[in-house]
Amino acid sequence: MERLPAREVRVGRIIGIVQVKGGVGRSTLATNLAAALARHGRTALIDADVPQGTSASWGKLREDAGRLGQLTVAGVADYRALVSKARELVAVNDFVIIDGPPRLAEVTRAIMVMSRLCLIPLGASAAEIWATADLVKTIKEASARRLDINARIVWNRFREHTRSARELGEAAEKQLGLTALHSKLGYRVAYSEALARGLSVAEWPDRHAQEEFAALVAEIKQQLGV
Amino acid sequence: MAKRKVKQNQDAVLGDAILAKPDFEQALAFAESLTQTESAPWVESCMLGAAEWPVAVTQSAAALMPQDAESRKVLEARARAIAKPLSQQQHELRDQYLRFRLGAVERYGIPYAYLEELLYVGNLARVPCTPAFVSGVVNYRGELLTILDLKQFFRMPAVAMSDEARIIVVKHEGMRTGLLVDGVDGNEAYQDAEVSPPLSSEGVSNMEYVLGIHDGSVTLLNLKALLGDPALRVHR
Ligand SMILES: Nc1ncnc2c1ncn2[C@@H]1O[C@H](COP(=O)(O)OP(=O)(O)O)[C@@H](O)[C@H]1O
Ligand SMILES: [Mg+2]
Repeated sequence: MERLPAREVRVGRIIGIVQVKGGVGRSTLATNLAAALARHGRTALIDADVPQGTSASWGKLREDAGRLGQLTVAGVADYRALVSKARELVAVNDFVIIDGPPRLAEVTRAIMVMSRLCLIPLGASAAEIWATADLVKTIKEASARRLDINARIVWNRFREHTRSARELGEAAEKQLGLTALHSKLGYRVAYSEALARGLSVAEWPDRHAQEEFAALVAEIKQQLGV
Repeated sequence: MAKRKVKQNQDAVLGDAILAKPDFEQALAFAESLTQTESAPWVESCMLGAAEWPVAVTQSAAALMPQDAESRKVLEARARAIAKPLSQQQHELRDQYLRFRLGAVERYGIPYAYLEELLYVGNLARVPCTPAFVSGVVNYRGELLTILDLKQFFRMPAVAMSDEARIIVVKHEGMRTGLLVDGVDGNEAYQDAEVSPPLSSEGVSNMEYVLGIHDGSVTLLNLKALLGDPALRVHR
């Protein structure tokens, strides 16, 4: 397990995962990212989507299996609790990952402003693209108040062999005015199987899933400058 | 919407401007400045026409969508493109299917285009007065999902359900259905050229539900025919 040199990390980096639509892969992204970053530094995962609590249940399974390592998992009930929890955890962790709710609520707005990097999982469906248009409005609203939100689309359940998916992806990025990360996640059983077991895809025997997620983590670390 | 420019931060590494993050006071203030009442959770049925929405959610779903005519048009065109069945999508190079089992060994596949997600088999509530191939219904993200027992439908022998059993949620013509299978093995890439015509001995009694055989042993199901079967429309 490598650790970051202490002087490079004055304050932890908050990575928020938001999307207005449910089931797009926020918890999938949050849990896998948490497991991956915990290999590099102290990491906290805040589940801000209660009562759904996917990340929190994943964390419980992981804890029961003695797999937490440098990872802490916490759940918060509202945006006030979220902000104070994030404040507390960012002081003692290198990375804080926040799994958001499927609503454009206070919690989502707080996540977007607090995060150094805001990831927006998106699948190639019209419903999800519609939902993302609303997040874009919030980004603009924040920007009008001089609050910078650094958001990136993460394509999930991506079918790279189909031209329609590729074209749709490009059109959506242009239309929404959002940049996507180069790494994309495919539709793989490994994601749901790992999530249900408190594992990450790095711990599940699907080489394609392992490789694509490792590439995503590398890209995120590069974005964060670590 | 196309004309509005959003500040694009294309830099590989985030700029200096945000090194001061996080600012918790600003985050609180921004969260609390949410003026409209909290939006309802995203409505799954938004790909249907507005007239088909359940009355109670019509307003909030509509409010979540981009309002100007041009962006609606673009988005609707995309929705139609995605809703197209796999066979109509052009220039398909390679595609993927989900491979699963019915019974202990039989191997089947469903093209990814139809897949929504996999579920563990939880409480399957049986529905009285439905055909034997309807295993029951489950609560799926707040909506009732009908679960079909493919073995029953294909008149294959029943086997005891193991903990490898899963429900594959598929979507066709805006309708979701769950398929009860005995285990999911993974995903596989295929090309049309690799799919051979079905043989009548392949286990499935009715060949119209079969797209073909991949790799000599995996029966690719024709979900369009299967879910469009009048026998299955009973429970709609
Ligand atoms: N790339 C993927 N491939 C296969 N299944 C996925 C993928 N991403 C998410 N899923 C599954 O979809 C479901 C919803 O994902 P989840 O991460 O819980 O979404 P959210 O947190 O946005 O509601 C879960 O069962 C998850 O395992
Ligand atoms: Mg979730």
